[in-house]
Amino acid sequence: MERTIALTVNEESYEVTVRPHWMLVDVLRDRLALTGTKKGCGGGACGCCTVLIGGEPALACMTLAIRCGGRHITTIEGLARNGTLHPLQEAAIAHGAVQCGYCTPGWLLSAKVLLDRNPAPTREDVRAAISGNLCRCTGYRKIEDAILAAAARTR
Amino acid sequence: MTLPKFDYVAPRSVQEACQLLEGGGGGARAIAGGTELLMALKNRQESPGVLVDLAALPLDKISYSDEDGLRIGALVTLRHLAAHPLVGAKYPVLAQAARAAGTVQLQAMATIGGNLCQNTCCMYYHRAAGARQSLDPCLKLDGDLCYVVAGSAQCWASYAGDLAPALLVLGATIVIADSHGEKIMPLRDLFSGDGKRPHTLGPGQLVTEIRVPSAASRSGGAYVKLRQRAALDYPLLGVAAYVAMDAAGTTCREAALALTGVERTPVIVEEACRLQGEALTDGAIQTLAAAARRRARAINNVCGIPVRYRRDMVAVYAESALRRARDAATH
Amino acid sequence: MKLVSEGVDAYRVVGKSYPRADVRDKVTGSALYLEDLRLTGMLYGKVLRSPHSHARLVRVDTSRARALPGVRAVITGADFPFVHGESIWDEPFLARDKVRYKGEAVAAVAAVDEETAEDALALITVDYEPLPAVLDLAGAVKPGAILVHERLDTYRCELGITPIPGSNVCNHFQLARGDVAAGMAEADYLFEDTFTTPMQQHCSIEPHIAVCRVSNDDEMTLWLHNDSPYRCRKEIANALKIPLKDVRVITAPAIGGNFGGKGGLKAEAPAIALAWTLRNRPIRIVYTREEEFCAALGRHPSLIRMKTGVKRDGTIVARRAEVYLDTGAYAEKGPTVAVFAGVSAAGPYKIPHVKVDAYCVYTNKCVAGAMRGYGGPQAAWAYESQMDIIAARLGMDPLEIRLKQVYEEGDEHITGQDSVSQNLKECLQAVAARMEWGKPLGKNRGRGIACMERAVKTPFGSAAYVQVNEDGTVDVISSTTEVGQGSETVLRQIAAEELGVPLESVAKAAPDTAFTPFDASTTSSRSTFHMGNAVKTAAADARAQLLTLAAPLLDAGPSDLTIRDGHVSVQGDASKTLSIAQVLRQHYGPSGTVLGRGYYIPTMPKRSAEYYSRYMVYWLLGANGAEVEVDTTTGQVKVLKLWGAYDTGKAIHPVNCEGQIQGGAATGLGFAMGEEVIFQDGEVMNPTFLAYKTPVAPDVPEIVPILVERPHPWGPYGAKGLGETTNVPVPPAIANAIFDAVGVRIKDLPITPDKVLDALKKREREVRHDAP
Repeated sequence: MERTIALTVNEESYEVTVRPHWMLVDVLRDRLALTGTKKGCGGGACGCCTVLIGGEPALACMTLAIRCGGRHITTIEGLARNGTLHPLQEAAIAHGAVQCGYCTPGWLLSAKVLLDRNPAPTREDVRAAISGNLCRCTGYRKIEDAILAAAARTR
Repeated sequence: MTLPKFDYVAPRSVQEACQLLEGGGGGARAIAGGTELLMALKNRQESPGVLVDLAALPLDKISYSDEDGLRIGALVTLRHLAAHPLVGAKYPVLAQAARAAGTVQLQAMATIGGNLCQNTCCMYYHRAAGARQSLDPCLKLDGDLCYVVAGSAQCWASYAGDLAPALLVLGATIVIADSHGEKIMPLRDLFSGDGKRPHTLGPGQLVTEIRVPSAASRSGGAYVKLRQRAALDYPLLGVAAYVAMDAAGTTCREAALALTGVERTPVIVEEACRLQGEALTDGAIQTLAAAARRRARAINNVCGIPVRYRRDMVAVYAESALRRARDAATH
Repeated sequence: MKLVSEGVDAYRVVGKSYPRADVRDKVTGSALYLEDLRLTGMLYGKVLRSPHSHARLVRVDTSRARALPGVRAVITGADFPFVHGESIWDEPFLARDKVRYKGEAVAAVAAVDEETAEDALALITVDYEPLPAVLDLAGAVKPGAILVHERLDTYRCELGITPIPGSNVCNHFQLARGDVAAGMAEADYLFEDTFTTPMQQHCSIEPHIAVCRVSNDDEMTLWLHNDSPYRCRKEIANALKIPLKDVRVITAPAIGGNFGGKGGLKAEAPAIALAWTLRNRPIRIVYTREEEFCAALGRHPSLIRMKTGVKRDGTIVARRAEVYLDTGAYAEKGPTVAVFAGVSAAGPYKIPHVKVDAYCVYTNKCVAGAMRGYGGPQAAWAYESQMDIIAARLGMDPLEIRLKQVYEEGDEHITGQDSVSQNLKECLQAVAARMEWGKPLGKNRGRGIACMERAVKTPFGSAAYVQVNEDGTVDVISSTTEVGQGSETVLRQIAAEELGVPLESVAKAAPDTAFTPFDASTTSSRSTFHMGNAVKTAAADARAQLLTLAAPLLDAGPSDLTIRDGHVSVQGDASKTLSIAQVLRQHYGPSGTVLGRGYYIPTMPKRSAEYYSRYMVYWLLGANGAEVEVDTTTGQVKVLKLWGAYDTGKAIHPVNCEGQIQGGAATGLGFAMGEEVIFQDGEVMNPTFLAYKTPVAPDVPEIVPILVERPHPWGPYGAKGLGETTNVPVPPAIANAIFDAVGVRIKDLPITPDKVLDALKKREREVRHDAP
């Protein structure tokens, strides 16, 4: 059983033929060559496959691709626009919030969801917002600093 | 980790969905948020022939009126529920429970209907797929033994949904649809008491709506959760409390207490009704908390934290939830 | 280029926190990890693993799996009868004759896609004859214990490893100084405690991956994220008995976390076995998270018995430590983890009489090896917890008792080495000052402090080239791997500083053993120091060559010239200047470059020649402080704030250093408060991120990083290593804070609330019992 679905990813339209048991993360990475979405645990716990579907956070390793027909998806590749980094990306660089970088795409998108809804978050808001994104390198502190700084800059 | 192969249908109406589920017999499974089902598929704990996608069904609305109370479509996500201003204002226990589940991403994907229909947990059921190969399957995996309670003929896996206790203390009812139509029943009747098949839904039956009576004035609720980390974890114990006070704010008109994570079903602490007409003193709260401790029969099916600690915490957490509920109701 | 933060000193590039070289790629999702590599004709490998802790392999039937369409190879240990190991050659690529742990590789499949490979695994049938297993340390060291390796006596071992034949001990390390019995007799008080730690797992968010292709001529190419390409190459070539030149290791541009977990042969082993069988097809193996927990690597579970003799004034006069490390079914790096744990076990204190025995012990469990701290966390849990036990008994301040006897500059270390650049006292004082040690706290709140020393592995070499290109840009050619720690940026900074060019004109690519020169390993916090020295030497060599080329062009002697911002000038005459590109063009015409070479290996003092890994070119030194609040009703501990002061030498990149201190503290916090690989009958019961409790953001409090910058005399610009041990003192600092808060002592990690509550209840009973 196969089905062709229309996807909008980072404001570009795609038609992809998928089988029902294919995961969105694999379709993004293997069919659309959007490898910025990472695979960490395959079990919905690490958050490094976080993407936005219709502006809401979703785990691409726990999402069937076939269910995404007609949906608007944002991946990490869509966060910068026309070569201009998003304030969150700028802040991540400026605050040393990146070490191995494997969790980075996921928490940047979680942070975008937060700032889209809450432009003036507290540190506690930030911590809750990224609590679904495991990081083993940074101890989270510089990630939180970066998100708070990006929020302050965007306001 | 790949998924096993299955067919996929996306019905447009509840009727159609129920017919597809019924027609598929045991081989059809409904998928809503998918956060739990897809994991079970990846782990080869389940292998349905067809997934019936509920996403297109018109069950994603929240409405409130003073006559009808709160009505929550079964496909409302936990994130939507927690962020809803009316839910936060009138039913804080519900918003707290929704926010306590999983992570932000899981809350955005998981639905309230799916959460109520959450499968039971057990460290032996969730053991590594590789390890499972050499072992005789447990009751929950259609075998005939229990690794937790040796010699038991029944499965002791625990129900650990966060939303159920909150909805139970609010006196929720649910709408069940099947190909013949709809019926309304108390939420508590959704739970079978069997660890292996924890729900009473038949094939072809779906929870379509959750109804909560209109919020009483001078009421308050709270959900407290015992877990090792601030996010991600299932509750080792979850306690929801609800109290409504009289106009003077001194006497209890209504009280309810429910637990999750400690039994094969969510546990309703019936002794809470004894508080009706009583003053909500610390002593009264402690008496009820002690009753909760007696009702919870947590067993040793979770990694890491000993079961006696979970049992000991029932009274502590029940007291905490009741105090918070009282404080919310009286302030 | 905008600086992350600006330092003030004489250096132009060193000491300043530039944005990392790889950071733009990492925030835009364009960084390339091994997971992103696809090669033409690539096949997908999967591994069938043992469900038994110990069993004889009676029969493995692969015929049905082979017959599955899309399957290209199915192999077992009989098809690939090779054995590998870093210090003891004990581990088959695929199990032969018997399996020794639940999770051991029994068969491997290569297929056209992942699904087919998974389906094929289900078609392999294995008949096992289960054998009795040894599943814990106590059982493994009992006389007459079941042996995990019956023929340990015949295994090839590296120099300095001392197995005890006929036992499960694969290395017995001993360290002695003075006369412990006499020391104990001198003491006013004797303390005897036992401390245990569980297995911790690295939890790199990127799982283990390997891609391998073998040509018909036995030439092997591996695309890896192994932390140490040369070490890995040697292990492979030794195992297969092929020349080193026939193994080429190409390292992925980005690596998603390491912490010691990506050394050795993990996903590499089955990928090699399949590729060797199925020539000319690249084989890709990606571990599942379950394999990460059950079949990769963890930190050694430990049991440490510590007996200490102390004078009334708090002076430690004698210490006897017995360290037992559970290395699981194969030695991996366990034997040297035992050496490092043993060297540190007495703690960083001037103790005249010390005897340490460290045992690395086989059990039928998944393998333990290198993990951040490498024996340090287990040792520090014992010696820093006991330090506070001693202080409490003597009524001394925990800070004072440490300051009184930590090593200082010039002190003779128990290894016999003179202490050089010993700044532990400053680290302790810095933490104490920042955390306002001694200031009263509220009820059920407490403060704790702990420190550590740990050796850097010595003596191991690092080589580097620095190539100056035609346009004046520079390539640093080195085999240090960028595992997230920031080594690419630090090495670029060193090259830029030494050469006199701007940082942005210097690049550092990922290693490839075909082109980048030798490096022992990216481990043990050795890279900034060792590779930094090699890069600095190579850059100085390139600089000297450039000056020689420029001298006639500028009509001056080489010693009259200077290089600054990529321009060679005559000192004192700014008008006479040429860009590096102009120098090269004018000298060579269109195609000239300069190649500088550098090599660094620490020289060993003569008297230390017999001390394999005991003479240390420097010590990693640091201290952590913790403030906690304990809920006495629930036993739950809230860690309110952490401090970490570490001796960085000269900090080349201060923000990177802060990141190492904060990240290490979070890993230490996890080890303290909840991380534990839970075994039942040898089975890992929690092999998921849901069941294993790695801290999430709200679990981690504010962590104050403090850099104690005391330039090391032999380090590049005075720098030394840092990241390896920034987790080490955190668990005892927290345990000590809990004791300070509520007076209970936890000796077994992790500090779960049930343990705290039990201890509180026990103490309450004792108090009641003691009451008149």
